[in-house]
Amino acid sequence: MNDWQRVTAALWRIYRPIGLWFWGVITVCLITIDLLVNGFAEQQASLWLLVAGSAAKYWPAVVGVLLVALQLRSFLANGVTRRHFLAGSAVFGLLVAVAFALLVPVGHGIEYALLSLDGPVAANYPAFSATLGLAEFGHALPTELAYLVTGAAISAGYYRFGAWGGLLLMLPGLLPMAVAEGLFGLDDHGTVVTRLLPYGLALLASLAITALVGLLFRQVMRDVPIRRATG
Amino acid sequence: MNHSTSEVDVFDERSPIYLQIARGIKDDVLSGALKEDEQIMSTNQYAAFYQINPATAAKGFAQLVDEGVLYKKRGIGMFVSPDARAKLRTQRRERFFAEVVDPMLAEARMIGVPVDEIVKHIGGSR
Amino acid sequence: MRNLTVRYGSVVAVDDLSLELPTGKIYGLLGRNGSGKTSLLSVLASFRKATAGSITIDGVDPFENAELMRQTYFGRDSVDATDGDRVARVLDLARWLRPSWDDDYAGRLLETFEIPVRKRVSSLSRGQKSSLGVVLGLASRAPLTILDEVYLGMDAVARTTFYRELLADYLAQPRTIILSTHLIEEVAGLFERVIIIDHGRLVLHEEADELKARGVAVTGPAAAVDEFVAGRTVLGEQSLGGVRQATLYGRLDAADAARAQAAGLTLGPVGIQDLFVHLTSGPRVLEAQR
Repeated sequence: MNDWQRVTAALWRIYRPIGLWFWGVITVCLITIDLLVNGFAEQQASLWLLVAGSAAKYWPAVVGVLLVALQLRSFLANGVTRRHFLAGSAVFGLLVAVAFALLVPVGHGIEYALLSLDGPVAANYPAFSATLGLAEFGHALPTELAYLVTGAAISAGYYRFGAWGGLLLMLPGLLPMAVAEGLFGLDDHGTVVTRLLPYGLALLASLAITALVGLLFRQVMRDVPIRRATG
Repeated sequence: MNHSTSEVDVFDERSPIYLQIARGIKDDVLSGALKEDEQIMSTNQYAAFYQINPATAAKGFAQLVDEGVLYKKRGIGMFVSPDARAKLRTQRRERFFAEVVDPMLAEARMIGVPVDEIVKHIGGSR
Repeated sequence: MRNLTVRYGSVVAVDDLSLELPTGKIYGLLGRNGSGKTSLLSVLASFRKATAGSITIDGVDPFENAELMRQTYFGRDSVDATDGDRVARVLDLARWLRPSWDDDYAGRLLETFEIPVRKRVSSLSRGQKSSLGVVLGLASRAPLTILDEVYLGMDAVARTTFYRELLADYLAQPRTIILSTHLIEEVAGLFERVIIIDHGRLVLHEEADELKARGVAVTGPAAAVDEFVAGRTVLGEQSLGGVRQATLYGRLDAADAARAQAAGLTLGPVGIQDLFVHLTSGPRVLEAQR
C-alpha cells in the first residue's frame, strides 16, 4: 500500500461504523413508518426518496468538514504529507459519494417492493424501475459530491484564514451545493427532476463547479500550517 | 564486572558531570573497589544507572584514558589500567600537602589552633 | 537551518536563525515563552513552512517530503488526536500510518504510564494526555523525534518515568531527539547538546558539559569582586550588605582561579538553568559566541 492508499484505508476504517449506524437507523425508521402508514392509506409519495435522499446529502458535507477539522491534524501528526492526505481523502470522499448515491435507488427499490406486497401502489407513488433507479443515482451522485466539497472547502477556509477569511471563502465554498440544489431536485412525490438545464448539461455544470471549488480547496490546503489542538 | 557507588551518588551542580564520573572512578580505583585490569561499566550502563546522556559518560571515560587510568579494548569495553592505582596514589600524594594539609593549617591559623596541638593530636592517632 | 525566518503577519517569531544539528543526539532546546521555539520546531517537522531562509534534513527540504515526514514525530503539549476517539483508536491510526511504529512497545508504555486503553481522549486527565503524547512519540520510533513541552500536566512521578523511558529507548536504539522544556534542571543531565534561543534568535548551541563549565559565580567583598570581574562578561550581580555575588560568563583558567582565591573570593558553579535565566532575562539578545 502506498501513502495515499493508506490514508483512504484508514479513513474508511474510521468512518465505516458511523456510516453503517446512520443508514441502519434511517432504514429501520423509514421502513417502520412505511409499513405503519401503509396499513391505513395508500402512499402517495416515496418516504425513502424524500427523507433518506435528503438526509444522505448532509452526511458527505459533515465528512468534508471533519476531514479538515479533525482528521488533517491527526494524519499529519502521524507523518503523512498534506498532498497524500488530500489525495487519499479525495478518493475516500468519492467512495462515500458513490456508496450513498447507490443506496438511494436501492432503498427506493426495497421500499417499492415492500409496499407492493399487499397490492399495487398508488398512481402518484413513483414506481421503481431500472431507468428510474439510474436517474436517481445520476442525481444523487453529483449532489453528494457537491455537498462533500462544499463542506470541505468551507472548513478549510476557516481553518486557514480564521473567522473573517473563512466567512469570505464561504461564498465560493457554497457554490457546489447551491448549483446542485438548483439543478437537481425532487417533486412532491419524490420523483427526480432536473431544473433549468437538460440533464447532460446539468451534470456537466455541477461536476465542473464541484471540481473547480475542489481545486480551490486543494490550493488552500496544500501548504496549510497545522495549528495545535486547543486544550 | 561490577560497579560501586561512590560517595557522590547524585550528581549536583558543582562541576561538570563527566568530571564527577571520572573522580568517582578514580576514587573506586584507589579504594580497591575497582581492581586493575577489571572492566568497568559501559557508557550505556553508566548512563542508565545515573540517568545521564551516554556521551557525558563517554567524556568522563575519555578523560581517564588520557590520564592513563583506563584503557580501551576494542569491541569489549573499558578496563582499569594495570598501574592505575599506583599512578593515582602518586598523583594524590604529590598534591596531598598542597591540597589537604595547607588548607587545614590555614583553617587552624584562622581559628587560632596552635600547630603544637595539631602535632599532639596527630601523634595520638599514630 | 540557514537564515531561517518565520513570520506571522508582522510578528517575527524566528529571526534569521542558522543552526546545524548532527543527528543521533539528544538536544535540549531552551527558550522563554514566545522565544520562537515552537515555531522553529514546527518548521522542522513540516507543520509549517518557513517565511524565509532554508531548512534541510540530510540535505533535503522536509516540507511535504513524504520520506522525511514519515520519519519525524512532532509531539506538542496537547495531543494531536481527535478528542472523541478512544485511546485504542489513536494507537490504531499510528499503527496504520507509521511504518516504524512499534505496537508492543506502545502497549508496554501505556501500562507503565497507567493510561486506560478504552477511555476517550477527552476524558483523560491532563497528565494522562501528556503521557499519551509521550507514548506516541516513543513508540513511533521516528528517527527524528521532537517533544515540545510534552510534560505539561505530568506529575513528578510521571515525568521521572518519561525521562527514564526516553533514555532507555535512546540507549537501545539511538535517534535524534529534541526536547523543548522549561523544567531545565530536571532533565539537563540527558542533554548532549543545549540550544538556547531568545526573541527568535540563536543565543548559543553548546555541548551540555561545556555549557556547565561556562558559568562562574564569584562571591566576596564588593570591591574585590568588582576588581576581579572588570573586563569580563557579567551576566548578573547581587549584593547583600558588603558582600557581592557576580555571575560571569566564560571559563576561568587556573591562574584566574588562583587570583580569585588570593583576593579572598569564592568561585562557585552555575547550573544550566541559572545560566539560561541570566542569558535570556534581558531585553536585548546576547548573540552566540560561535
